[in-house]
Amino acid sequence: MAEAMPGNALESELERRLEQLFPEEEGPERTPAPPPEADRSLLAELKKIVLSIDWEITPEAIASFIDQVRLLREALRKDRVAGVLLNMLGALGYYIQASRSQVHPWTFPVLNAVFARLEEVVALAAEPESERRRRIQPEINAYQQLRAKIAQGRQRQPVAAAKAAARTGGGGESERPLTAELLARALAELREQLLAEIRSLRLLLEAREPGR
Amino acid sequence: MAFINLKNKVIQVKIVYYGPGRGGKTTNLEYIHRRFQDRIHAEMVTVKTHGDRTLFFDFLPFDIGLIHGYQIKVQLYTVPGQPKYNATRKLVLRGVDGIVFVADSMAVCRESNVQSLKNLQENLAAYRKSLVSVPWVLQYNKIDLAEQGIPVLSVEQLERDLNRGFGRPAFPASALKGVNVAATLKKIISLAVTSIRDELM
Repeated sequence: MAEAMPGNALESELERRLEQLFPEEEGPERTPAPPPEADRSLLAELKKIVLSIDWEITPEAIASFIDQVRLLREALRKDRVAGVLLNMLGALGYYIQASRSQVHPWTFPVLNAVFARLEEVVALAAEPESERRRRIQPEINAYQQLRAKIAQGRQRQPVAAAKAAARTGGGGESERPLTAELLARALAELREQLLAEIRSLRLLLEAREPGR
Repeated sequence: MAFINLKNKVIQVKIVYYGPGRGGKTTNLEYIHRRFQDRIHAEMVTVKTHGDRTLFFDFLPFDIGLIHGYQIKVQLYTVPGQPKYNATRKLVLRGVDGIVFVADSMAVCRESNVQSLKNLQENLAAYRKSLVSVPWVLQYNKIDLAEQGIPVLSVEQLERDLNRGFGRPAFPASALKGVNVAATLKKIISLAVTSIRDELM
């Protein structure tokens, strides 16, 4: 090597080769740009609603929570990590709306944790996606545990409901007359909830097996 | 000393990323692997504990290609930064041709940087090497944390703490964002290869 490589020739050839392999002119790794002002204000609005729900759950607050999540999902549609969290929040919103006072006690702690993580990953939009995915894993696990708990509760519910119906002589709620408007709204909500669940499941799968 | 196969004209250059725990050694290799994968076609081997810490070492081998008829193969290693794994650190240093000392710029890490550099000197001494005889560079990682209001040491302070009397090339960097990761790597490969050439002459 010594005879074959005069000092300057070796250094210049090595430098050229290293420059080819590790070019710097591309600058730092391309990462998603930080969220624009509009997204931050949507997030701030959602935070207000989350805090108000924590204080008192009203149908109006839940409805505006669902709307705000939908707006944010639209605004952050290119951010797949935030999308996972927003889909979880959306599904939780529909669940709270449908179950009202019967919600599982874990629901609000999980909702608060998911929202806190959303704030974090939106603020860290410049981080590599792999790192952001790693950050949201505890919330994904907590959400899945909650879903399992709710599913267990629902399996037990029909028996209890049947017993209650037998005691009261049948009849459920439905004190309000069913109008076409109510039916259309219920169907739209059901459709949105199902779509959110499907999106959520798809993103969860992607988060677990990136590149699949 | 590098592994040199004169018959096959192959030279293996061993570069070790050394430094305090959680300083960003593995992040350097992960960035290199991710960012330049399409050019170096390398597989990274890593052994982590449950808490995502380096248990044994990370290993990233790649070829630079033919330089004056010699195939140059580079092997990047990290060491576990946690104090309890000193035996592993010492083992990984065996046959090292170049070292990147990855210092953590956070103000709270000042002492651990100094301790880690001292530990490096002790471990090199076991192989009858020193920071004077081995090519090495410094990387002051996490310099970008200042933007988030986290107290970081100034480059001047880091130079006084770690580079006084050595005058080695030093790179303020952010391994997470890739700032100066490639520059650090290129410098240490260049220094290591020229040092091998000088030893052979």
